Amino acid sequence: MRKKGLTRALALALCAIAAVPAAACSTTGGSGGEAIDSSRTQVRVYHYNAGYGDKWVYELKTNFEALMADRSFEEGKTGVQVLITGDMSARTAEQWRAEQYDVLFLENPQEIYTMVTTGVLESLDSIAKVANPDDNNQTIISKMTEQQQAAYTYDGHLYAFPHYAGNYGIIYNRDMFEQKGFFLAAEPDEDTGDILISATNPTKSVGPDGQPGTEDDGLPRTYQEFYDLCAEIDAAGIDPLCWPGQYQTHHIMQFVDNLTISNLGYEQANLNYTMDGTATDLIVFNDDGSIKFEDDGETPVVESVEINEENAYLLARQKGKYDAFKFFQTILSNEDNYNEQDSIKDTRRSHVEMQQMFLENGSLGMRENAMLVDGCWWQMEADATFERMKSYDEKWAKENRKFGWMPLPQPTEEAAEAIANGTKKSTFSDYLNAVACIKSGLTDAAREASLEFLKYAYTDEALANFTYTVGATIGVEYLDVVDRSKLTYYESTLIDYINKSDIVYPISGTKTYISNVSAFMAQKKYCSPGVQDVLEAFAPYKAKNMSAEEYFIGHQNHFKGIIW
Amino acid sequence: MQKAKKVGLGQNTLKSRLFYASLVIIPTLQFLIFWVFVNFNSILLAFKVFDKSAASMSDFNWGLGNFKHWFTSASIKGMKYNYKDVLPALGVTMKSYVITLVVGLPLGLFFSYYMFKKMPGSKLFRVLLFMPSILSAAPLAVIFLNMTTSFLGGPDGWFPLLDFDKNKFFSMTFFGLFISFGTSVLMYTNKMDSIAPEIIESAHLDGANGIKEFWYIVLPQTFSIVQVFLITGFAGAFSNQGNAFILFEYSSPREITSLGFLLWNGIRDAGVSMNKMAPYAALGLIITIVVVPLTFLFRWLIEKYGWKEE
Amino acid sequence: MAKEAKKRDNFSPLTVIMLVCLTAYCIALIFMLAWALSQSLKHSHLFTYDPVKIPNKESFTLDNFKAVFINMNTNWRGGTQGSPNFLGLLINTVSYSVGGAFLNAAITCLIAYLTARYNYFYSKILYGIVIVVMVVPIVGAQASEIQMLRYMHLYNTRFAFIVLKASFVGGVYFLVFYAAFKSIPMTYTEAAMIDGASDWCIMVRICLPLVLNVFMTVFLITFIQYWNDYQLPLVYMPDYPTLSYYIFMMKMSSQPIRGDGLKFPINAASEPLNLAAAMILIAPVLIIFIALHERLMGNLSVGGIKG
Repeated sequence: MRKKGLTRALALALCAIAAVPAAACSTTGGSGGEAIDSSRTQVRVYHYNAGYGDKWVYELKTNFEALMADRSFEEGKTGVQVLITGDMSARTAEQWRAEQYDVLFLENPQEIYTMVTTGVLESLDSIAKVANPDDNNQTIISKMTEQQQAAYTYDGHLYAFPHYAGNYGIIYNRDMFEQKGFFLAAEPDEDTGDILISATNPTKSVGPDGQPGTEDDGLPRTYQEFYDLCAEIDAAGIDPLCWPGQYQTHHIMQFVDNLTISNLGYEQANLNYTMDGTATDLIVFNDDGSIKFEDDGETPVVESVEINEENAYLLARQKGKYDAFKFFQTILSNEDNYNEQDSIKDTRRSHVEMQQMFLENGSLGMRENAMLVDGCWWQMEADATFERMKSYDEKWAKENRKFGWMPLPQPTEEAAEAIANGTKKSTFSDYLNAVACIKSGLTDAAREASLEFLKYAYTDEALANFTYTVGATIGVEYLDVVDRSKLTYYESTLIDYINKSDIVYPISGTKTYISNVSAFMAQKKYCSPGVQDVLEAFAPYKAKNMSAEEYFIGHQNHFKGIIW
Repeated sequence: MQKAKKVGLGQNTLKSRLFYASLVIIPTLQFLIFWVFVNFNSILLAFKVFDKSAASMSDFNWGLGNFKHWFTSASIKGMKYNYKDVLPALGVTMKSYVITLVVGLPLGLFFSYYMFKKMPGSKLFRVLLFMPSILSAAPLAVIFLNMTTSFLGGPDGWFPLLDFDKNKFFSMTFFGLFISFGTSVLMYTNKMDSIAPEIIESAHLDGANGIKEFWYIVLPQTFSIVQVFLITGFAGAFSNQGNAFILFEYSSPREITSLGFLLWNGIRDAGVSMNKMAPYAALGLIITIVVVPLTFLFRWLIEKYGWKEE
Repeated sequence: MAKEAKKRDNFSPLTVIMLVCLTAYCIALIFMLAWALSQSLKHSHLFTYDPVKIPNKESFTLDNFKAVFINMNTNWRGGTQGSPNFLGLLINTVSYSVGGAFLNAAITCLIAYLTARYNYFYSKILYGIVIVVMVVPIVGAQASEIQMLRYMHLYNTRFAFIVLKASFVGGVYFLVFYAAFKSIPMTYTEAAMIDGASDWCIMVRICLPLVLNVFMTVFLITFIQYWNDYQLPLVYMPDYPTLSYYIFMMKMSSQPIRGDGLKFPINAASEPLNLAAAMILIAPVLIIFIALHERLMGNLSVGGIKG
């Protein structure tokens, strides 16, 4: 009996192993991969397959292959075949060197500097600095900011182009806003004192841009207006804000980053990366370590300090950061301002579910949500919901609904005024830090074809196509050529906002930055000791009940500690 | 347990030695290549202190800076964890091990005893206790998390104590225990089944029943297997991250961060930056140097004072 | 003997308490699995609002299961190496999990046997190695491992797992085998040796059969572990993805899965879809287990030594 068992088990296992090589011959078992066309030159493209999806890269492939149909890069071959692979796994510079890809689209690549300095990448000079007749004689470099050029240049050569850009912010349900009248009135109602528009008081306030008759009319300009709006929405029985409980830290801390950068404005924000210049608004501390306030007891005293790489930790004192913490304290410490159940308590509530709830507002007796904190690319992720709703009724289709990217409110009336009259530009922080690059050591044909591929990808036409497909942007200058009529309402509000904003990219050529890339990410940077994030610090459910002052003071040590 | 000090009878021949050598050679080679050789770099890494502003990973000095990081405030910048995290993590590690020891282990043994006695439902219980090992922890964690957050745990749930936000350590430990019985119970029952019937019968004649029978007869006979779980549990407690990752992913609240999770999450956090990886290599080395002798001491103590099989 | 014991043994307080605990445990576990199964049969957009109730006429669907296969049979990875379909994935999975588990269990068993039965100095070294390895946390060795595989021309080949899994330093199972072999009295084999049996004969004819049930158990557990493992294929043999690798990749994506058989597109990150995927992954193992559990879980006992 025992023996039989052993023999059988052995036989079974050995058969299984023996079957493997035989089976191996028959694999990859009816694969869906594209066969290699030996009559064309291959360009192997890798892309990080996250929220932006892969639709754009397949479109790029189709268009580029058509464009190159008659062009020969090597003897005996005509045309190009683009082969695409996407995944979400991190690799070291050495692993990238070993991979069989030609063109790389990477997101948040901490290893990019090692890749550049250890020769994993090919110089892009030949396509970046030469005018392209197929693109109105523009150069790619002319579409990049100086900061971007500096960050990706090494030994005088350019090694990467910035790719898609984005960050977290507020998406508001404009259909709901219109239906419920959640717009601020130009003047409060004379009789009721109601700050929102109504039938008797229909004139909207001018909004953040200060111009009447524009799409942002009635939207909050300042923190105070935003708080007031939240209170009104809550009074209407609707949850003002929501975000996915599963990724609460990520979403909110990215939003902290975007709001901070928006407060600081381009120059002061960029100091965090260039670490060279004058910081004009560093908060002064008393001898006992508390914040020194003006006589009004509210406005912190600020000073100017020259910043360099050695003392850049002083930037933790920037008033824009304090203001942002203050904003989050005010919003988060009152659970009426947000959907506490799905955004904080339910740690399994995913981004896709939250998007669904946001789109299906009020279905099945759930509470409604007026504003969603999410990445600006959220529509791509919500595609399944849009399509399903469309199958019920055409009016729910993405094209027929109105959502809006909300301009970020400013901390003070003066700052809002400066935005309105144009003395300060709105500022947007890109956090994805996506890049496109080409690997070194390719065959002549593959290198030439890959360079052509990127050259095409950075023409105005291809860049605009990206925006039509994804509904978001690439971090170079081209937005003026985007045809707004091809965009949804949401997409055009986003593109308008980004187009008129200065964009701060989280990149720098400084040594301090390069050796601490991950410490500069929002989730690590804007922390304070003793708590994990602003949610833990301020939300009543987490029961820490910190004040923004305490958080800010703690943040000083934290920021200095993780980098210097 | 037989403890022959000498080489076994008939094993001192050339033939035996050749037999032995021919069988160990390939696994030994595999070990030398895929463990010793491959890990050699990581041991060296512990002594490499990288220039923090260096772009290239070949710029380093040999030194003890990575070790100091875990003991003094002269820490390496940009690290997710530092010396302040080590003691709490050690506390969590010990707490987890002690709970396994005083709750998990006796429960497992009692369960096995129940099945050994062929009490009602034994077969079914045995199969179901083993089930979590089959399903693997990851999908079970997903199910468990979903259930606790939606209706099981939290202030409004059926079991308010199960709350992955407020009661992290308890919830994680509960989950860990819940899925932990498979292998151990299987091994215990298999071992118990091998107890000679005469021993049990004679114990019954002497009037030993229930807990007495368990304590004086069954436990000693099973102890060789228990011992295995005691030792591996002790050694593993310092390097395993347990279920922390599948339950809490990348967030690392202090109350659930054991040494194993600290290492695991820290390494993940360091990503591709060798300058941040190096202190973890050092911490790993420290843990090894402390825990290896402790494990052998522990084993010696168990063998000396534990039950011995007849 | 078992039957006699059953006749005699009555409930003691200890066994009563255990009965209660075990019953509670089993109810909880069955409830968990039933919940997971029922929710995998629910439209994912309805799960968002109600993750508890059993699906009714309106919310019941097989779409989640269909979607797992629809996505599997499309080019889900892209690239030139192609994305294996269900059959391809299954072949990869079986080859890795059965082959790897057998190899690993066999080598571990072999070394444990030699270490336990041969009182050579080298045996002590081997034993020490196992303990040390169990305690040493490996930090950042992956890169060197890949390098070594490349050097041996085994990286990203179907057989990469063989050199990685032909190892005896896995931990607990070595010690299990070790304890099992140690529990066989030396006199037992010495008697055979006196009768002129060779080392090989003693190992294969006498000792290995005695640990058969331990071996089968270890093999089974290791097999399941590898069946569920997506990391090794992901890192060392990415062109030979297994089922769990596929499910891991599917979960990582936020893209909608569309297809003819589906009433609505389903987002790949949705929970019911992932529960359905988990069910698909679990099903074969569960069937094997239920069919073979009597044999695998060891009613054959080491105690047969006296028979």
